[in-house]
Amino acid sequence: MAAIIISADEIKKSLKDYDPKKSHLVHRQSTKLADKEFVEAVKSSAYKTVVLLSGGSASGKTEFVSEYLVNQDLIIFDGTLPSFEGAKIKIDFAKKHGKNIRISAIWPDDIKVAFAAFLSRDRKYPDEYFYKTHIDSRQALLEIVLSKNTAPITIYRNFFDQSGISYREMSFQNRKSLIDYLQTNQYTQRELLDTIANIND
Amino acid sequence: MTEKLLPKPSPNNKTVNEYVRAVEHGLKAQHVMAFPGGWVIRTMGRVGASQVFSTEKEAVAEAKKRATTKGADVFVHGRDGKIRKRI
Repeated sequence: MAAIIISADEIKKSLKDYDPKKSHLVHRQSTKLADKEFVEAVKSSAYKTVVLLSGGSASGKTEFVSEYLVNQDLIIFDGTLPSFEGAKIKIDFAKKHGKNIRISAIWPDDIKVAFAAFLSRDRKYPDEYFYKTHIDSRQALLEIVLSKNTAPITIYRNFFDQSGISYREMSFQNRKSLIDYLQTNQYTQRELLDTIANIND
Repeated sequence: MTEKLLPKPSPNNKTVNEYVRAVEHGLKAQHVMAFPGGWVIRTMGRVGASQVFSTEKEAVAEAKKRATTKGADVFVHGRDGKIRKRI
């Protein structure tokens, strides 16, 4: 068996007007279609577990799925999980249909590495999109934990070095320590811009 | 908090390899940025002092030269830090 993977980025490629150099122009359309596919998959698939991915653009989410999840009986929503409201709708819907649900957040250890990947891959977005998805996905994750809308959350850190990429799974003693960690690891656009601007540091 | 290293991704994983190539390419990019007193060229993959150019035009011309040698892209950032132009 193989995972059912729902990805707005993959859906984009099938759209008539898709131009990788202007990916943002079909983003809304592909996101809507992905949401529709998610609903259908949850309703019709016998798979019992849903995984929602979370993390900013070019964090290594799709790569994580391709290496660690693709051969499991899972319904996977490969997106940035940019809002608490959107996440809640998916969590509630999956639970209503008897699914177990968990969230896998992929965080780059070095935001500059993710930015390098973001600038160089085939599909292009304005850099505003990079900052927004990294800020929003972390904020949404914190709100999910604070809401007690319980879906287990695991954070994986994506490391890059000369041997390529690797992932580390982070474990927290309790919910409070996870909340503390999320609260101290939020971004603002200014912080991201400053980090990118000091790219030699 | 504890961390557990997951098994290294397979060297045959095409998706991972494409990501790694994108990172490596991106790290070579030449970023022209505003700096007190002028413009500088920065890269993400190298630490080092930057020459300060008095005009953006001069900085872009030099960045293009360096990019050609490295097979890299050039990005010009506005004073707010956001990318204004990809060359």
